[in-house]
Amino acid sequence: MATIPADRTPSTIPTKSKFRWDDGIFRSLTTAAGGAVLAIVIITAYQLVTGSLPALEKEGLGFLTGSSWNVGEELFGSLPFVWGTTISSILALVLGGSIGVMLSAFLVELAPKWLLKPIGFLVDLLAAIPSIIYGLWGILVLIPFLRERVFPEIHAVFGWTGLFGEKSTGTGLLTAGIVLAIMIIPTVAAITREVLLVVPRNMRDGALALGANRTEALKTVMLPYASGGILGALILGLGRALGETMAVAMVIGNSATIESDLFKPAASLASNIATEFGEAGPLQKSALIGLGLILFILALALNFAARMLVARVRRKSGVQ
Amino acid sequence: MLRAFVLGIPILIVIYYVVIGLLPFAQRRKARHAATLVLGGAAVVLALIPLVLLITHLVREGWGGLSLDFFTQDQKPIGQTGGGMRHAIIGSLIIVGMASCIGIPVGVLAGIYLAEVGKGKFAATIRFLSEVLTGLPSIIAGILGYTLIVMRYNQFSAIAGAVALAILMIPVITRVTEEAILLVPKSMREASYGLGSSQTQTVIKVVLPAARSAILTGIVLAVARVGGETAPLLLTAVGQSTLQTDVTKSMAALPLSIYLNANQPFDSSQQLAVTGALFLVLWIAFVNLTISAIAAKTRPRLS
Repeated sequence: MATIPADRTPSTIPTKSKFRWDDGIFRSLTTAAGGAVLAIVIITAYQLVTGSLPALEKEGLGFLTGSSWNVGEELFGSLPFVWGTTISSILALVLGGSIGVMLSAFLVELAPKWLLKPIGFLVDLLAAIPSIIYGLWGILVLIPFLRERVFPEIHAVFGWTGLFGEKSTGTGLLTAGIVLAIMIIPTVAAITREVLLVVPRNMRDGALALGANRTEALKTVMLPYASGGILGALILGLGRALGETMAVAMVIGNSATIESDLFKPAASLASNIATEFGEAGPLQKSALIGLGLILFILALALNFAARMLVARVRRKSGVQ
Repeated sequence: MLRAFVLGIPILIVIYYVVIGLLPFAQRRKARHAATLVLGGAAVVLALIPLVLLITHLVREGWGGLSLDFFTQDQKPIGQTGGGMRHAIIGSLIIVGMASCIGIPVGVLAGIYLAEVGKGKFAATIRFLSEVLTGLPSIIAGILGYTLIVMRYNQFSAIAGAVALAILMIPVITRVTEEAILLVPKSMREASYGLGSSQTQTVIKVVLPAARSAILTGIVLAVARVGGETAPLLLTAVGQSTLQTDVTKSMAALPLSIYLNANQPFDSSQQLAVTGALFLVLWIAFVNLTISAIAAKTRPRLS
């Protein structure tokens, strides 16, 4: 063991002096697999850019700024879908993000211990149910319920704001936001839980020793300490909501329009790709791949930012 | 009723703050604590209501359709009652099986690379990218399957679907494998090296067996997850209403058939979609339940 260089740990390269043919194969094989992850990112970016080039060349900057998507006239402006994606995701974040954070804060710090396991299992199940099932439930249960019972009431109280119109089919931005909210709760809850658990125990214990009750320890010590990571959890939830496809496609109404009325049908980047791709001509396909490119950049940027924030809290606590 | 609810909540909040303001200091702290507990409990209930409603609806509407026919028959022509989803279940098994053949080895090897082999900037980049890629929208994987395979061979195919699903699988399995391997104590590796083993022998005979259950759990969850994906298959395997086992042709898959049937205006199609959805949810609940029963402690996180 004397051959171990001082700067290496035993678990990595123990016997540099002796050539091991099997290690050579092992290393190149695993490195190639690691490289595959990098390759996926590069190939995806390359394919999306080349695939969308015909539409981008035709539309130019209008692809980003155009507010009209008309297949018949070969007009491809992505703004309606950016609008639909942004609004439905922000609604989801407001509704689902707050619930996710409260749920995890409650489970980590306040809830009785016997509740943890069953609720943890149910939240995991919530995360495991496929998008398509939420979409189906949205069509069969949620949309009729919202249309008959909820939307008229909201219109009656808040109709004056202009955000909640009178006529609604039940599909639309708000419905999509509600379904997305349900779907991002587990994501937000999981990451929030993770960052709350790495808050140093002695900080929390210190607050309790000073006479704070558990609510006060949570509010004054744990949440502020983990705030960056919780922001990361919310951004990650936003990233999930942006890319969600099938559930949104089934409840948003699929109409390439920009309306401030949350009860009106709209379309998101992902949902529009899913619904139009099958019957699209070559130029339209290229424009749809362009929507994919926008989505890819948005999702990667959000995930990037979120992972950075979560990693910072972990580093601050000395975890890894 | 909802109107009372909408107006009632602001009134409740006002009452809460008035009461809090009037209470003496010690009681005020207790009241705040109680309010936080109520709020936390409400968050739990609100998060789980949709799950309960969803499952009860699927069971009530779909249970009747879950007969032997569902598993032994293909879809009937649209509009006719009866029929099953044999073709879709078999299609799902084939596509997910092929995706697993690509995704599991690559993902596990990449995880081993990150945990045991890679160092420095390159490995850090791969680690970060694999984390970021777990958030890749599934429809993008579908586009990739389309441009890489479908466009090249000018043919929708199960293979293209499998490639798309594998792309979604790889980062998840990479993360899970790395985390599982990092949990194996260093002393076990040192003992192995001390006996003169090479790194390959150490990883294969010591590290992987020690991390096996955690890695397997992660793989099962990752496979179950891509098994429910619809969007990537919509662009690649596109679906079929009859049994198809030629992987170079378009093929049915369970989530895809649920979607396509749900979009039909016929009761029989909708019934089939609901039954398919119930089967899928039961299957996923079964996988999750089994795993949390077997490996409650080693369960890795997927998000």
